Amino acid sequence: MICSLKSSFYRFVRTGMLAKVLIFSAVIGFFVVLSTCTDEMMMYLLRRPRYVDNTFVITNVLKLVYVIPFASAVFCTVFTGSDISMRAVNNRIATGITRYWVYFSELIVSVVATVLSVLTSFAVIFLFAKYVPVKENVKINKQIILLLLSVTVICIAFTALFLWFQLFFRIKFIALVCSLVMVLAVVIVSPVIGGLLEEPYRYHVMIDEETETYEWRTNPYYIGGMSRNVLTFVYDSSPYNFDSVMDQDGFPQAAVTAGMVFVLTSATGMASVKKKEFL
Amino acid sequence: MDNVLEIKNLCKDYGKFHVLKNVTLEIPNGSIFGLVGRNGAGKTTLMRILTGLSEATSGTYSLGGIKSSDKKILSVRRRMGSIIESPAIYKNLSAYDNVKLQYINLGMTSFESIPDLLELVDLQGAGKKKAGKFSLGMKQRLGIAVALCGKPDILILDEPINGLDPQGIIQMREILLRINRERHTTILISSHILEELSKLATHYAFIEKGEILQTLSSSELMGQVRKASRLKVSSTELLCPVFDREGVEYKVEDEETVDIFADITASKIVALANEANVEVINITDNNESLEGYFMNLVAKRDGIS
Repeated sequence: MICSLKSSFYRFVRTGMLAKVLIFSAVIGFFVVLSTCTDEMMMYLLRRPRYVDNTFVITNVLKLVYVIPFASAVFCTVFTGSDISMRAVNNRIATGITRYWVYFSELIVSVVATVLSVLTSFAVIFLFAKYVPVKENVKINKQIILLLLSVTVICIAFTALFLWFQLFFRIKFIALVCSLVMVLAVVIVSPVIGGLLEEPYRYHVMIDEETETYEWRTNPYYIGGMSRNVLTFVYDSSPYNFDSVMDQDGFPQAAVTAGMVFVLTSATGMASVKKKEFL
Repeated sequence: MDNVLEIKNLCKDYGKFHVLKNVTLEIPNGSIFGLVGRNGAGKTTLMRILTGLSEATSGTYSLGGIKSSDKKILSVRRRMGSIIESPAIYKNLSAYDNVKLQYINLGMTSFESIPDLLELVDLQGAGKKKAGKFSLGMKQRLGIAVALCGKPDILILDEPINGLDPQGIIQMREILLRINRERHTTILISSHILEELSKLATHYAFIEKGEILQTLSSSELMGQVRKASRLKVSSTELLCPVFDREGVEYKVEDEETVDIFADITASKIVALANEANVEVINITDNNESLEGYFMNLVAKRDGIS
């Protein structure tokens, strides 16, 4: 197991992937900051912001949930996908390293890369917020740590899924496309579900303008019963529902669900890779 | 131990398709064992099973005396190097790093022997170059270097000379012979280029449609290969009836060329030609090739089935 892990980390460093992850993540952090500046503080685009506080950092960290999974999908394709398509993974199996440990070591490296990516982007965001504005009130507090943890867990859950795709899809490009489509689908579906849940049970309609008579009518788009419970759970579990990612007091449901997705995906991957015949 | 690898009744099925049928082989220690077969005969599948990349449906094999069902087989596999289908190397790593990575896979901590290994495969001086920039021959040799990490007892090579130019083939042959002689490494090798294989192998196994047709040593093969004389004559049409009458086995190549498969003297051939009123232009040895021998075996098998 140690050999497999050492081998994966050696490749991670020597192929320049580590450097690329750090540089790319710093660039992501910079662009996220730039996007927030242009969105919310247009006046500060080409000047030093007058004042920022923790809200600025929180806004930027939340945006990482949108960007890091795409970067993770590309990383998994380049790192693990190419390992399989170049048949180099066979060298490890032929030396007696079990597929289980091969999967585990690839998972560890991918998770490390994702965590590094989140932390590097966060570092750029934090350093910007701390040192660029004329005046700041930015402090790392419990809320930011919890948020950062939540974002990290969500990102590594995506990474575990992407790794699974890479190991079990014969064509690595299709695995990449599936990974990207999956993130896009979650991004698109979350607000749609949010919109459905916001539909009122009934609404007020004027039935006679002269007498100004109103009537309550049942909303046909209202979703109730078990379906509502399911949709509420899905919505609260979605990483693209900022209310659920942000939790002042504890670990949000989206992060808990992401943690479960990570554990389940990894366990399924390890169980099913046992007899997997690579190329 | 006489045999480094023993395979018993190995079968591999993909659904209803039987890729390997009761394959039984013994690979003697120190030999260069040529696995001869057409595309889809089951050579690669057999090699994938031996290297742990694929699992057999039934049957066993033992490597260095350890059975495939034994958990120790995983550690014994460290004494085996392999190239299956194409060299498994990282194109974005240097030759040195590719070899070092395999050292790490094997749990080795000393990397001092890497330059010697690269020298053995004629890659000295190319250690720092990215493998992606290598020619096919260099990639194959790097693959051999990776397979040789940890000084394996047996090397399993699937089509290692496929796609190489003549110079690359000669270079590869010399490297394999050097590995076999100097390191006493047993080599199980498959190749489509049978004439090239005949310059290397000490033992052969012929495989067709998942079945082993025959196994024999190169000296046994030499004894069984049909001796042939190639005749250049003025007319094969006139000569053939005489050969038929005399019971001489022959094969007409064209109007002026005929191969005779018989232990027959040149004077006797000339006498028969004179009898048929045919002029003999020249007579040369044209013993049956390994390819011809294999094709005959396949033809016999198909004739039986």
